[in-house]
Amino acid sequence: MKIGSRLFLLYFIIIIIFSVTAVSTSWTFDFLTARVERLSNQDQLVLDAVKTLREKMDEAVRASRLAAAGTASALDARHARDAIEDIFRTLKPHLSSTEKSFLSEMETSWEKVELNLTSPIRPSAEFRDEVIPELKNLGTMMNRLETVRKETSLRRIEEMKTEIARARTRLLFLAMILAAVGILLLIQTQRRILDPLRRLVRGTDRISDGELDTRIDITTHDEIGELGEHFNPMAGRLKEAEESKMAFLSMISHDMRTPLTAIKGYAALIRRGKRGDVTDEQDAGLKTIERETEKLSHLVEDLLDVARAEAGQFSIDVQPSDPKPAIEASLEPYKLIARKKGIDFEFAIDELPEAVLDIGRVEQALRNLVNNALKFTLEGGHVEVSGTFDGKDLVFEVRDTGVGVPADKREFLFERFYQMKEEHRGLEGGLGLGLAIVREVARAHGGEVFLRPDVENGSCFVLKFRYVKPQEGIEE
Amino acid sequence: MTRPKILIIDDDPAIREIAVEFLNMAGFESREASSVAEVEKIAAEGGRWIVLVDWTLADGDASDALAVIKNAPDFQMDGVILVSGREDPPAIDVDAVIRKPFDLDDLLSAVEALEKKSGAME
Repeated sequence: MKIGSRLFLLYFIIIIIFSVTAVSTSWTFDFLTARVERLSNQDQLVLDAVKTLREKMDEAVRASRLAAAGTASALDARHARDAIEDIFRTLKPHLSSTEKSFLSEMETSWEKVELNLTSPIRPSAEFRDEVIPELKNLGTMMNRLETVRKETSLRRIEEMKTEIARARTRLLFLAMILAAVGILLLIQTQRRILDPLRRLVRGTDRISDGELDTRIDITTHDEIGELGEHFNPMAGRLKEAEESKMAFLSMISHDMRTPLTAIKGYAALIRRGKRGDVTDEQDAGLKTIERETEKLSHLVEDLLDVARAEAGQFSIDVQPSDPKPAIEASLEPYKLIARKKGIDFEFAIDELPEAVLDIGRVEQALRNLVNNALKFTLEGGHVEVSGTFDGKDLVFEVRDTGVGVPADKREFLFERFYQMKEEHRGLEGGLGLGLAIVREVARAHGGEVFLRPDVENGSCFVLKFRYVKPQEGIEE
Repeated sequence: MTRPKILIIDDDPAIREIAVEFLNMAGFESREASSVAEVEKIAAEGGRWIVLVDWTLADGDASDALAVIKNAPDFQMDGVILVSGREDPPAIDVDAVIRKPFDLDDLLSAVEALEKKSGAME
């Protein structure tokens, strides 16, 4: 399912969950409210009826007595009695069985009272003896009916409270279940979208680190799945391109090395008099040819080193070495080069322990740093190299009083093909490979190279190689 | 004791010419071959030789040339140096490897080292 559809479905489900919770809450409380209203209306009706009954009975007795005395019409008494009959009929369906038993007793007593009221005038003592007890009984029954109804009403209120509490618990439980379902759906959707995305990010990270064999496994049927499907062929093509580049560079370097050998060889032979006498001028020219050929050879090797580093194939050949004499010998020729440029060059290498190193690569790294220092230092400047052992690393510093590196350029300094040419047009050129190679050499030895940030005039490069004691070997 | 002769096997005539001239100047007797077929002819002559061989040849490669030499009954091999411009020279059984572009002096040192070694063994 596409991510868009999946998100739409998720939103839809969340809205449904929200609606169900809201509607069920509303329904439950509507139902409870209606029930409370219905029951309290019924109670009110009963209590009102009892009150009216009491009034009508008083009225009926009074009217009947007045009618009997001839001071009022018998019609009023008749109306009151009819009203009482009506109330008895109306009340019956709204009463509980206990209340009904009170009502039937009240009906019986009222019949007796009514009989007396409608009979011809009887002596008052007799009337008093028969009617008054029944009237008292009626009053008692009505009181009981009221009491029972009020008690029932109070009990119902308590029952309603309990029911409301129960409904609240049920709703809370429902809301929690729905929320849990929502959260699970959210987590699952997030996982289905984010997990493959994270795998893609890790894959691209590895590819950009040069691990071109990286492949990722994404089988989702959505946009990320499509991206994943394209990722592996892309990585494959990158690898093919990288291999082609290496093969091409290898072929080119081979094809360049052979003519370089010939140029260098012929210049050397001619200079040694194999083609006749050589004048001083010719000798100088031949030396230049040899020197420039040497530069070209280094360039070819540098290009190959960078290509190897990019392909993750930069390797070193370590052996137990005595670094001090080898490094001093490789730095010695720079004294002459510096002197020709009017630069003061010196080096001071401490006694260093025998270490497992690719000494050729270490010399190459130091030469690249010294070449740079001499390139960016003007006449009258100073370049110095120091070498120490700090117990953990072999540490070399190449310090110059040259043009320095602007702060905003420092982060690119060790990138291949990077040059500070804009700032320093006119200084000797190059391809910008030297520092990139220095970094590879340092890394391959478990070390590092960096520019000291606290140097104000000129620059100071620190080159560290992790010290490995002979017979310990390099830890992978 | 006679010095070994030097056989330079390379498909590039300039490299052969320089090496032959330079080693002759250093007092060696050098011969050149550009192909396995030429190697076969020279090998048949027999004698003590130090062989300089490039990997790529006109009709094969260094291993073919060395196989031909090994089969020549009178050919006495004092040492073999692979002279290659390839990025990763194939791993074959040789006494030394010299990478192109080489210094003529390095080439001479390698040859003299093999000469000395074979002399000491005798």
